Amino acid sequence: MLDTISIEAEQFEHLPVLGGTYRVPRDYRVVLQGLERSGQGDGSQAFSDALQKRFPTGSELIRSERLEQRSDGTVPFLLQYSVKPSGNYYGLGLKKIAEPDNL
Amino acid sequence: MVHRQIAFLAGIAFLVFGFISLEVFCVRQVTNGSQLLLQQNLMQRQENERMRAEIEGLKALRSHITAMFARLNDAVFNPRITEQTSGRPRLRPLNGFERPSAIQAFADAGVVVQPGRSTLGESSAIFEAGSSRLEFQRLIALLAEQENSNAFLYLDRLLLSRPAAIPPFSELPTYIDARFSIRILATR
Repeated sequence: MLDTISIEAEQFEHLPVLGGTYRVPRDYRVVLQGLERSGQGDGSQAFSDALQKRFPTGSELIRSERLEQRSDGTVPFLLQYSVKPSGNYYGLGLKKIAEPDNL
Repeated sequence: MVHRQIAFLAGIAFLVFGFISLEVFCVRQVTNGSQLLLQQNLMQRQENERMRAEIEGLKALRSHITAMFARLNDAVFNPRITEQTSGRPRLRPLNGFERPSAIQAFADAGVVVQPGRSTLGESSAIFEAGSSRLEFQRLIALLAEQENSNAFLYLDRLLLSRPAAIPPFSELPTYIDARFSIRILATR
């Protein structure tokens, strides 16, 4: 179960536009924190493997951590990825809204 | 006397031969030049044909290009609007309720949106947004839909978290606490 999902744009590229610049990210830092029930296998690892297959090419797992088991029997975990922007979320299973312009 | 006549005739014959040779040489030069020009002309014609096909292709794409330009142009947020004051056009800044359509769509979906501070020298409008009334699947679809609706919109930062009041592994419908920052290309 995921507790928090954090996505932060990083490594900006400043593109010159009329009247100034427009910064666009070259990288996203995705941090997932969650809990898994102990004694039910390595669910976070399976989740991480499945997620990584859906991320854009060039994305990588930066950090994977399992903390001490809590008194309620759950184990907190943390996954951190560096994800390359690909311009859409379709790889994550969302439906395409409209066909992109293709000149 | 006879020798003189022969020499004279020989001179005439030599001159005639010289003229004919010169003429043949000139004609040959002109012919070569013409052939070269003909080849250049043929190449130019082929180039013209290629350019014509390219122009036809561009003409066929004109409506597509115009539509794409309009779509990209519409995606750029103009923080000032032109209004008519006593018959004269005048620029005025937007008030808090006038915002880009993507931002308005967030607000319509129940997200609280406030204008943020732009960095000096950057042509962008920043909006800080927050929601605690949307479920995960609705929120993600909304974010994806609005990001795809504007070619120059992206999220600077996004934080989704389970509300503290909801216990872990709850199977009840859960409204996610969401905080995010949206950036849009804007004119200055």
